Amino acid sequence: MKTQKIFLYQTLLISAFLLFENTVNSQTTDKQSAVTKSTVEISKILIEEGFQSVVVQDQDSLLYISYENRVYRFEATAMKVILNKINEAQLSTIDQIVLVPKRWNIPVMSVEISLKAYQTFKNNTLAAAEFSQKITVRGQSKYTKKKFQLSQSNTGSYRLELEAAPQLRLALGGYPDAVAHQFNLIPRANLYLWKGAKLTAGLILPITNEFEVPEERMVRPEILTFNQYFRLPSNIYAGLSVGYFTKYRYGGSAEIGKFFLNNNLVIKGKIGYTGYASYPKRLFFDEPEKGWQRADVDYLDYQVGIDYRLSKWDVTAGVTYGKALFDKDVLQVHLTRQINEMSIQLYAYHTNDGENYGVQLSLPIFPKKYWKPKRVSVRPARQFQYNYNGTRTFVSLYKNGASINDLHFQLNPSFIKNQLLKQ
Amino acid sequence: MKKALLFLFLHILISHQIIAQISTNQWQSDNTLLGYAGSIIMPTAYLSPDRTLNIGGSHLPNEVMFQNYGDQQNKGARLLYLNFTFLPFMEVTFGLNKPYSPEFVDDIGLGDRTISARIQLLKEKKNRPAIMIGLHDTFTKQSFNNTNYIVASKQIFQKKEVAFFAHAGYGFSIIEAEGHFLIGAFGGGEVRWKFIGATLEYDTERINASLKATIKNRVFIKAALLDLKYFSASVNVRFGL
Repeated sequence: MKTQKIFLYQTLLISAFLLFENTVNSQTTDKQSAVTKSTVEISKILIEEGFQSVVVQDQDSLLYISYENRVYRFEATAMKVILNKINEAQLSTIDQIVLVPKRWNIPVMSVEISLKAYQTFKNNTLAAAEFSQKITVRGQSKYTKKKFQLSQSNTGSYRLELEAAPQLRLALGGYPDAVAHQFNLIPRANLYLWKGAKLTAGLILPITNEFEVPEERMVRPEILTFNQYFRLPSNIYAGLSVGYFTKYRYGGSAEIGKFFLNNNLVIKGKIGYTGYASYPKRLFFDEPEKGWQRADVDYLDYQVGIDYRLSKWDVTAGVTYGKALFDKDVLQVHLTRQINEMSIQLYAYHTNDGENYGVQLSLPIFPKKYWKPKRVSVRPARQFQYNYNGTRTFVSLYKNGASINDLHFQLNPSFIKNQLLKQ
Repeated sequence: MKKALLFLFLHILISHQIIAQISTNQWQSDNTLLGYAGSIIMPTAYLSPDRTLNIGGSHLPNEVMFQNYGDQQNKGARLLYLNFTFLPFMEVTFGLNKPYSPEFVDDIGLGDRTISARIQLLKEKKNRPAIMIGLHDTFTKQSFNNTNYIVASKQIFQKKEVAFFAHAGYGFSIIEAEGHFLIGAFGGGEVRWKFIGATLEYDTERINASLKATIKNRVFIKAALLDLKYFSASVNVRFGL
């Protein structure tokens, strides 16, 4: 127990240092940033379109654009919109464009693309194979460094995003009802703070419930967390989360991931120190509410894993080993196919309590484009997710409001390249 | 509520162009009565084009239900399936074998669920058949309907719009199961002309025959005689994702 506490304190100290370092660096200015009349105009066009944390610089015939997309559901669509806007602006002096999408104001990858090649590809006079030669995608490049992230316009920081996520759970094969379902609506608030930081608060509103778990008929908190994520040198990402997580857990967790092979290989680890807490509340009924219940923070969980992406098919194969909640040692393998905005994951896991296998389906939710983000914006969740499990051996893993996977969602370099090669 | 959820799911699929046009005019494969790609019951070494989703259902006569529901009076079953080409060389099928008899609902609940996974080891070439291995209902906790097999398929004749395909395979058991099928040697042949086809196969227990047709490579309809006397039929709709 002592070792666990020492570890937790160490993690908190390191995170506090990284947070300080991150904040200080984001406030420094660079006198070398090139801002011209055309860059100001392009910046205006992108802000008008709804992009945030926009940085536009030009250097000779190269145009550098960094942005955060919270207006288009699909990152590849956002990139195509930007390229089309630049195309329409008819900048004769620009030959090469560099796009750097950000998430939570952290640059995630870069795309270098020939504007002329894009124009000819769009006009169907350049084959996809040839166009492919004119695109360079990188998970780590000089363009993802801090010095390119200065003089941001239309900041995405200190913005509140309200989203609604549907949640469906099915219990199949039970008696007497062979199909029992539970449908919840989860209104969630994401407050984006400084670089890499956000606050998340969610509430579970049961719409219909056929499960015989009394708590699940009640309104209850889904999540209430603070997350701080960092992009470190050598293509390493790290994050810290504290607060109330899903699966009725509260406490802290830390995550780290090192990317290789142009982000097609990642080795990652996660550790958490949590306890049980719940606050179900029955609304609009006279029956007594269950109220606040809490246990000490005393449980250590961890995961280590490796994911490899086969860029040809947008397929990721992964293996994870770790200790989940309720003392379950878990070895999990998965194969995930990303098809445009949807993904299908086949998974299987072995635990000290049995095996299970299943499929996870992620589908995009209407609409493709959201209202232009303002200080407070409202939109549905990007995806609807459903899991089907083959047996009743479940593994309980909580979510803590953010992850390295979320940071890279739809932004794998080879995936982006594959999408740009589609007309 | 369930209808509303189904509507929501279909709305998401259709209105957001997840469903794309089928990218190929190939009719190399269609689906068996049990959902995986093949002839009638017999699997073949072909599979649908990459990223194809097949949604289908079939009627299984009482005499050939591929499921034993005990001593109760059976009235046949319907089999509903989702078949997806996960990779250009790999497909997965989720099946639900659901008896018609309402009295079964209290005893067996939803019906028997199966998962099938198939991997094409070799693609067909001019002088070589396609080779595929398959695992059917191998991973489930209680397997009522298990087989594991290797199968080879070859187009052996084509002239204008007429094509003839031959298939041969061998099924074996690797797990203890409540029930097996396709154990031993199986094989058959198919002839196709434009949008219609006919099949004759031996599925290790019976000789089966079918007539089938496709409407624009999107809808596949099949009528079969299992053991050459018991009527069965299926409808399958194909989407390219």
